Amino acid sequence: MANHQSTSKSITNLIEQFSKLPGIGPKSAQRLTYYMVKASKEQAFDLSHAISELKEKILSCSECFNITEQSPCEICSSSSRDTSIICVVEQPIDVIHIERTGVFNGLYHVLNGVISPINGIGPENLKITEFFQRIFSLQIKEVILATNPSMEGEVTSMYINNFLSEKKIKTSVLARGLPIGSDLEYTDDLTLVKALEGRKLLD
Amino acid sequence: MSKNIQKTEGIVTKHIPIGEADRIVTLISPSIGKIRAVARGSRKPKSKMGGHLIPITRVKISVANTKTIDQITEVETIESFRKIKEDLYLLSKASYMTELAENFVQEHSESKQIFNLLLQCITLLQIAPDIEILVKFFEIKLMSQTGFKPEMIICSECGTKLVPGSYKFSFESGGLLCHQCAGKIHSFTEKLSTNSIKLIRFIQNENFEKIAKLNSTKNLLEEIERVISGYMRSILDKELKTKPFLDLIAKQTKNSITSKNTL
Ligand SMILES: [Zn+2]
Ligand SMILES: [Zn+2]
Repeated sequence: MANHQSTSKSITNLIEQFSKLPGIGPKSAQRLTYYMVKASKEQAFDLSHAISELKEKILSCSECFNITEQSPCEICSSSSRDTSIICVVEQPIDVIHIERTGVFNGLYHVLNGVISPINGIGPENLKITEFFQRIFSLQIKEVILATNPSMEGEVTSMYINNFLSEKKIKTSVLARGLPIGSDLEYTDDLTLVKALEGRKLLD
Repeated sequence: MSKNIQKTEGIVTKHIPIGEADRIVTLISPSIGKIRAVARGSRKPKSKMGGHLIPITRVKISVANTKTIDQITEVETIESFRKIKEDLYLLSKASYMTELAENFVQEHSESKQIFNLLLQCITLLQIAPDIEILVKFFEIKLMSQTGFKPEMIICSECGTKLVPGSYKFSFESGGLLCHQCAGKIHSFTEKLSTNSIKLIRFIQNENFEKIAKLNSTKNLLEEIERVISGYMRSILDKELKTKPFLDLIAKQTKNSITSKNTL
């Protein structure tokens, strides 16, 4: 009986841990837990090892605040990157996406969030002051604001742009417009206006 | 499965991402008050709803009542207030006003008055020459509508009629204090000058067209701001989330105006 209770405790414990993960509800957490009960000792150990290694080795780059195994990160310490242009993103995952396109060779700055007045998140909660300091120390000539085209992303862009325009630094934002494969009929006014404003001449 | 679907309009006040691709959206509607409903798939790039459910947007929506949380089934923009969304200063004011309004609106209760006031003020934000007085207009009218009208005619403690002059405003009793009562009550009061008192009364009684025509209200507004924000804090018993951002943008706007003037 005592034995049964202790096993059920470790099971509920793991279910609880799993259900804290984003996108995982109590049902999925249960499924994952019972999968791990059946899985080999090796697999379970590999998983727990991978997680703890992640936490031991991954840190935040002291320059751009991207996640990295060394600080400054690979991009910040690379000699082949263009250090006069910097791309501002919300999250580390955005760096991965932009890097995958292979069309950008400058530096990044990860804000670690967005300004959200309605949630009480202001510029002081993000890596914005660090960004402004970096612009001067690196003598940045151009800034690309690549925050999401959400309201919070736009607010963040506007806030940074207000500062940059005073300092006369060339600033651009990613084109706003229609997603590829979308339907004009169902597009909201704001997106349509942005798409019209950002229209492009055909060669 | 028979679903009860309600069609109404509303102003979006906030949205919170949930799960993989959904959002929980909050709106203020005239017919059923506060609406909190999930918009399934609205974070997907191809979503037909995502672009419409942005805070400070007036929309037409259909909401399906389910056993758990209500679900938004259709949405269409009536007015997107583009000018506000492209201006940090206006946006900070609009965010503040919508958050404030949301605090006075309940779910499943008619809220036509508050909705109309909010809609009027957000619309005016795009054209009003003096934004600061517009925000005061909104706050003071909202207080009147919700039963917190600041008492500016008689002493809010003893009921004595007040002769023209300068008086203390009590956050606790929600109005001016005669000199006698002011002598007894020391906590949470703020002084108001004769002209500030006149201006608050004027805002309480007049429409915005007349109020917008007033000149030289600048120094009075700072005094009134201290009273209104203190009183509002005591009514709500909390600090609004948009307040720090509002203050930051106000400070920066002020700075950039002064620095432009000195150039
Ligand atoms: Zn880095
Ligand atoms: Zn009295």
